[in-house]
Amino acid sequence: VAALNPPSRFVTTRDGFVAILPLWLGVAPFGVAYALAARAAGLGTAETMGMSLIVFAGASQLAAAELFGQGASAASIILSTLVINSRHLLPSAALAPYLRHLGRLHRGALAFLLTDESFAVSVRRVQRGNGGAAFLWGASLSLYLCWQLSTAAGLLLGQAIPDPSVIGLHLVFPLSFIALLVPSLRSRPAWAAAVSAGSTALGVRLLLPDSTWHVVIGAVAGSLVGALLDGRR
Amino acid sequence: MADDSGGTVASTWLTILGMALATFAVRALPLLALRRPPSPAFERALRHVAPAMFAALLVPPLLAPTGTLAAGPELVAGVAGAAVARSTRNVPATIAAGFAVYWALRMSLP
Repeated sequence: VAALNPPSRFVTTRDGFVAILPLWLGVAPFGVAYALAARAAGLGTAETMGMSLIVFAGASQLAAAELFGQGASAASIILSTLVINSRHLLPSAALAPYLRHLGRLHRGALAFLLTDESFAVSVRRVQRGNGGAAFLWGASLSLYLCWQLSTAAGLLLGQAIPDPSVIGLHLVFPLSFIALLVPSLRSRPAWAAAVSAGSTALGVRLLLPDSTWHVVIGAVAGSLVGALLDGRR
Repeated sequence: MADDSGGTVASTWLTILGMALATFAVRALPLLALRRPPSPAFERALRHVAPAMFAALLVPPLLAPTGTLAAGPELVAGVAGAAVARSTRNVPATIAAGFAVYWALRMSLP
């Protein structure tokens, strides 16, 4: 009978922590890239690290670093963050029915740490119900640790580089997003979304050079085009 | 932000705090409020946010690095990065390839 007992919460949390370790290899370069982009944009060490600690959302942090560098307004940076991270509504919604038994504070803490990666490795455990929350905790804490360590590593690397503009560090930003975009182009609607978002953002940037709203406008336009094409199939 | 006046630093921190609240809101809202799995329409509406946003972020700095349309070394570096991303799916390799091409062009052009 003892053998049928479920594993302890500690063991399950540890399993979640270990399950995400291979993904560190994919996430850590973005942490480094973010810290380098933040340096190129003129953000300080405390601000760069603080953003990783309390925002903990890679794509939006890279985007914010770029927008800070352009001298964007607080409103446009925060709205860009909201649009960029709106895709987190989906994993959160997918887990919600299976975590209702947890207290609000507990769910809030899991939500703060929720990422694409921790969702991907935990979703089936959570939906089957056997220690899913403990597994999700392990996976999420693992990725949080990776993000903080790679941000710190990027800060150290950035300090070794005397003048970021001379070596073309501004390219870290678009090249990072190319690495994210290319694997997501798996369907016609995804291509249409990317092309319309890119051209809209470019158009707005050229027409209104002083505005930093081109990211939000382009992303919303592209998402709508993608959703419309998807709905038609 | 390179500016070290107190007001700028304070507003930088306020912006970061606003980013944290916005991010937490979208992560927590469904987990705290939803009782049923998401509908297909909801899923469809959000499915293409990622590619749209990545494209909106990367196209302007590659095609208009200084605010006016230009097919310069940035664009060529981006195309090289995309080719490497397609064949390797590797982030450091993508960034390294883009940099290598950018520097080769910068050194060979007057």
